[in-house]
Amino acid sequence: MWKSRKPARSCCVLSAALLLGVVSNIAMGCQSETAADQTPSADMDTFREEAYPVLMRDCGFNACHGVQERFLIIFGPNRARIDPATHHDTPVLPLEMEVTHARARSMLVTSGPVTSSLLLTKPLEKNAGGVGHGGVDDFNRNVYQSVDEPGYVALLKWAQIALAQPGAAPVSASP
Amino acid sequence: MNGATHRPLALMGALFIASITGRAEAFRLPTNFNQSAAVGGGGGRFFTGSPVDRYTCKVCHVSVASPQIQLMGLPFAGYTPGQTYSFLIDWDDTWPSVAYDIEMTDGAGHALGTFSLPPDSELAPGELCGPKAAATILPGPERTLAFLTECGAHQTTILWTAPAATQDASGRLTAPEAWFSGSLLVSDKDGSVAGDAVMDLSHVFGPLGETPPVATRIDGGCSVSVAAPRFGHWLASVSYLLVGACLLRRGRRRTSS
Repeated sequence: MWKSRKPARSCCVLSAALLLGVVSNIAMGCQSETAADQTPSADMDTFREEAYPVLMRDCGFNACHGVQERFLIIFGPNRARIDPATHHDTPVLPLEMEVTHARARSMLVTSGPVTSSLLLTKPLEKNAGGVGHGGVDDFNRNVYQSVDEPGYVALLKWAQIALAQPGAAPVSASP
Repeated sequence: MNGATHRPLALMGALFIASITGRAEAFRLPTNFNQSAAVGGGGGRFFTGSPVDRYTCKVCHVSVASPQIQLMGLPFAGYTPGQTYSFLIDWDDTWPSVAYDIEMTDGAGHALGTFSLPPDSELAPGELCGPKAAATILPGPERTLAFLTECGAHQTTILWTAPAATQDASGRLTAPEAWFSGSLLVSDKDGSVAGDAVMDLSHVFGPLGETPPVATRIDGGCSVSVAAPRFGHWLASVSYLLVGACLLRRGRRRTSS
């Protein structure tokens, strides 16, 4: 019985998946066209110029966010590579930039202002408004001592641009 | 032969050298540390572990051992403002590949004093890479930094000139605490961050005549000796040997009784 029903069932699942794929492609196409019309890759440009060098300098180490175990992982030359066979000196690959950007962007999800997002609170010293972070140095200091540090300012600049994009409103964590 | 004939040969030689050193470590040149991190540099981070640099080589390299080194000549008992000290960093000659970054700062991370190198003619063969000193000093007043990139050196001598004393509001001459920080990497030369040995070192010392600072920390089996004449080291070694012999003899007596 099961054997005879299986092909028909698989066919249904496949059709549904194809339909879903077509619908989502159309939706994504429309969405990206709209976004591109209004702010052409300002988010990615700012990320590449401002945030990425800071993430690479302050976070992308083997003992920190340069390993697969971390959600926020930073890929690039002389740091972690998506494909371990990539030579460590090879400039950042488009896919590495995209994944790093996507992960960092996910860390901006917050119910409040962007300054309360994990990307901006985790590396910030507690008495400056930050939250706990395993990544303290040998002097027990968090990555940024204050919101005035250039690294923090660069991340904030990108975060504000990223969240200002159409369809990029922060996802509310509260019901 | 003229220069034009030499050029292709020189290029081929350079390419050959580049190809055999291509698998080497990420920070091969001192300039790599100042390069933007986006292109694989340190972004101004030198991994000395100093108050301003904060991280050491261990932040990337997985240390499988704690190497022992000799550090001699720094005035850990107290420095005289304005005086120049010659200090030696020495390690096991059998280690195939050693690199380090060291830095001198005050407690707030500001550059303290200056590093310089003795003339090449005064250096031992093990301190040279080719005809030049193996160690490099970072030029400029922003940081007091010295590095060694991997080139087969077995020891290095660096000169540290302590800052001059300054007069405070009450007219008293003062000088800041010196924070010596560094990280030394013994590489297995496999081009990865695994399988290496890293030793971090840090030591805080004040000017002569002031209470020694409390925050003194030496990591990873660093053997630190205070600046002393050679005779002092010899005398200390003999004393240790005598004490050791006495203890051994006492132990034997107890066993036999």
